[in-house]
Amino acid sequence: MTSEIAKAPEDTTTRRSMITARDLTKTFGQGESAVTALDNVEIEIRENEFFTLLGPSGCGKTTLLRLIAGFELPTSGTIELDGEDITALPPHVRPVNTVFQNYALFPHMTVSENIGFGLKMLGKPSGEIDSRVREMLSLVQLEAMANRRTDQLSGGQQQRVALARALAPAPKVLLLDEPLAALDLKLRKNMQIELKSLQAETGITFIFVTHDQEEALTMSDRIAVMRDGQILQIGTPKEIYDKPTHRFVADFIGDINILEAEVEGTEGDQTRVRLKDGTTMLARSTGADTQGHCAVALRPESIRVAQGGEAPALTGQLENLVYMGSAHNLHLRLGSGEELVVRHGGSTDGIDLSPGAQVGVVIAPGGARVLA
Amino acid sequence: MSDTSLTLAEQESRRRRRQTRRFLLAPALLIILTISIMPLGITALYSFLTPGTYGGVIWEFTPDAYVQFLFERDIFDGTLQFNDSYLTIYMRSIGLAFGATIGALLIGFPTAYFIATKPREQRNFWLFLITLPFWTNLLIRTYAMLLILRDEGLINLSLMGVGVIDRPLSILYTDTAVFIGLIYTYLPFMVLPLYASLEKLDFRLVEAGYDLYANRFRVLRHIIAPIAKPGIIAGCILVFIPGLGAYITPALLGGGKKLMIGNMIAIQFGSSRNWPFGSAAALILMALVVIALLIYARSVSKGARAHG
Repeated sequence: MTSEIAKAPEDTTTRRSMITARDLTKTFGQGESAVTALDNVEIEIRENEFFTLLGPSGCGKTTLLRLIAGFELPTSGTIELDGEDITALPPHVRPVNTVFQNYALFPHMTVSENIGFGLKMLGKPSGEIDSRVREMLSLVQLEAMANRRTDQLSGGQQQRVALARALAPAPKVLLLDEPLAALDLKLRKNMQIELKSLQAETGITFIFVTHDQEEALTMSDRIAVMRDGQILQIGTPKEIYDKPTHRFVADFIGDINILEAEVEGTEGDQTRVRLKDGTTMLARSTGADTQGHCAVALRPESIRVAQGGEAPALTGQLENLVYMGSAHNLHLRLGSGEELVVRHGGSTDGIDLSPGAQVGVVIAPGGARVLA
Repeated sequence: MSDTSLTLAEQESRRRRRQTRRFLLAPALLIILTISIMPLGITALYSFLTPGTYGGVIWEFTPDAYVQFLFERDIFDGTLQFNDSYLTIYMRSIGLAFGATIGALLIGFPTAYFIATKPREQRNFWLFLITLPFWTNLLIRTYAMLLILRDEGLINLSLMGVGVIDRPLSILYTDTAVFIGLIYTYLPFMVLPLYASLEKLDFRLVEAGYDLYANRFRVLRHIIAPIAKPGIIAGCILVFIPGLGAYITPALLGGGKKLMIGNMIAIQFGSSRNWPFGSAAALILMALVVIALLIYARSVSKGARAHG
C-alpha cells in the first residue's frame, strides 16, 4: 500500500496539541482474515479545535475514534492526550467523552440522571452534580425535560441529551461518532450550527466523524480525509476543497471534473499537461507525482463558457443543460469521450445552448490542478 | 352511508368477535379450571376436614389442621402449647431456598452474560448445554450428585488427592448438600431468563458507561443490572418458588434428616396419614409465596409510579 500521508498545513493559530497519534495501526482478526482498519496513521489534533474525520464507510474513521476513546486498543502505535500517553488506559479513566451514533442513552434513567451519570461516577458531590446538570440542560435547551424518560423524547432531543451527557464532565476531548446521521435534513442543519457554536462556547476539542463532506466543510476547523485506513490529506475546509492533493480527496469533496492527462513539462509552479483529446493546458502543480500519467481536476464553478471571441481552453458537445436557479450546469462531452460539467453563473445571452451545440469553455486562473 | 348504520354493523361484528373469542378460549379455560383451580380447591377443602385413621378424610369440618401447625395439644389435659417444630422446617426451607436463589444468581449471571456476549451463531450451542440436564430425570441427576458429594465421592477424593484435606469432608446429608443440590437443580431456570434479558441488552450502553468514568463493577451495578432487572427477578422467582417446595433434593441429599417443606408435606400424606394437615401445610406454603409476590409487585409498581 502507498503511504501518502499529507503533512498538516501550517495553522495560523499555533495551539498546543491535544491528541497526538503516532504510527497508529489497528488490525482486526488474525492470519488470512485479518483486516487492517488503520494503517500507520499519524495525526495531531489541537486544543479547542473542531476536527473532522471524513471518509466513506469502512475508511477507519470510527476505528480511530474508538481508539481515542479507549474502546479498542491499537495493534501498534501510541496515542497521547494533552502530552500524556493514554495508549493503554481503559476508557473510564480517560478524560474523553463520546456522543454515540445511536446516542446510547440509558433507558432506565431520566434525562437528568443520564446527564449527571458521568459526574456521579467521578464521585462529585450531589449538589455540584445538580447544578452542573441544570447548566447542561439550559445549554441544550431541555430544562423542561429534566425528569422525562429518554424514550419520551424526539430524536433531536435525544441527540441533545447525549451531547449534554458527554459534555457534563467537561472532558478534554469530545468525540462525536456521526451524531447527526439519524436526524432529518432540517434538524441536521440546525444541529450543525448548534454544535459549532457549542464547541466555540465550551472551548473543548471536538473530534467529529462523518461521511458527509458538506457537513465536514460547514463545521470543521480542520478535516482529515481518510480512505482504506489511511489519512490522505489534513487541512482546513478551504485547503481540502481548493487544493486537494489526492484524486480521491478531490472527488470526495464537492463536484469535480477529473480528466486523464499526460505530463508534458513544468513551467514555474504550473505543469503543462496534454489531455486525451490532444489539447494542452497549464495546471497548478500539487507536489504530487508530476511524471507521465496524471489527472487534471477542474471544479465546475471554476469553468465558464467562453464569450465574445475568447480562445476556448476546451471544447465539447452540449449534452445536457440543467437549470440550477443561480447558475446553469452544462454537461459537455469532450473529444476524448470524457464528460465535463461546467457551472456557468452569468447570463446565457448570445451563447448557443441548443442540444448538440459545440461549446467552448475557459478555465479560471489556477482553476486546474494536477493530481497524481 | 350514515354513521349510525356503520356503528350498528360494527357493533354487530364486535359482538360476534366476542362470542368467537369466548368459544376459542373455552378449552384453555377448561384446562386451567381442571388442572389448576380444582386441585387447589380440593386441597383447601381437605385442609378443613378431619383425618381418617388409614389416610383419606372424614367429612367433619374442623380448623384443627391449622392449629396443629403452630400448637400441640397436650395428650392429658387437652390444652394448647406452642410448638415451633413446623415453623422451624419452614424457616429452614425459606433460608435454603433463598440461599440457593442467591447462589444460582451469582453463578447464573456470569454464565448468562458469557452466553449473551458470544457471537450469535454460537449462543444456541451454549444454551443447549444449559438445557442438557433436562434430558435426564431429576431423580437420576440427584443420585449423581449424591455420588459426587459423598465421602468417597468426586469432591472429597480430588480434594484429598490434591492434599487440601486429609479426611473427607462430610458434605452429604447436611444443609450444605441440599444447598448445593438446589443450586444445581434450578440453575438453568436462573440462566435462561437472565440470558433472555441480557441478550436484548444494547452493549453500546455498556460502552457509554465505561466512557462516562464507570469501572467494570459500576457498569454492572448501574447499567447492566438495572436493565437486566426483569430477568433477574424472573430468574429469582423461578428458582426460589420451586426451591422452597423441593422434594427430591432434600429427600436424597438431606438424607431424610434435614426436612424441607416438601418432604414434610409428603410425610403427612404418607406415613403420618394426616391429609388435612398436609393440605394445610401446602396452603400455608402457597400463602407465603403469594404474599411475597404481592409485596414484590407492590414495590415494583411504586417504583414505576415514582419514575413516571
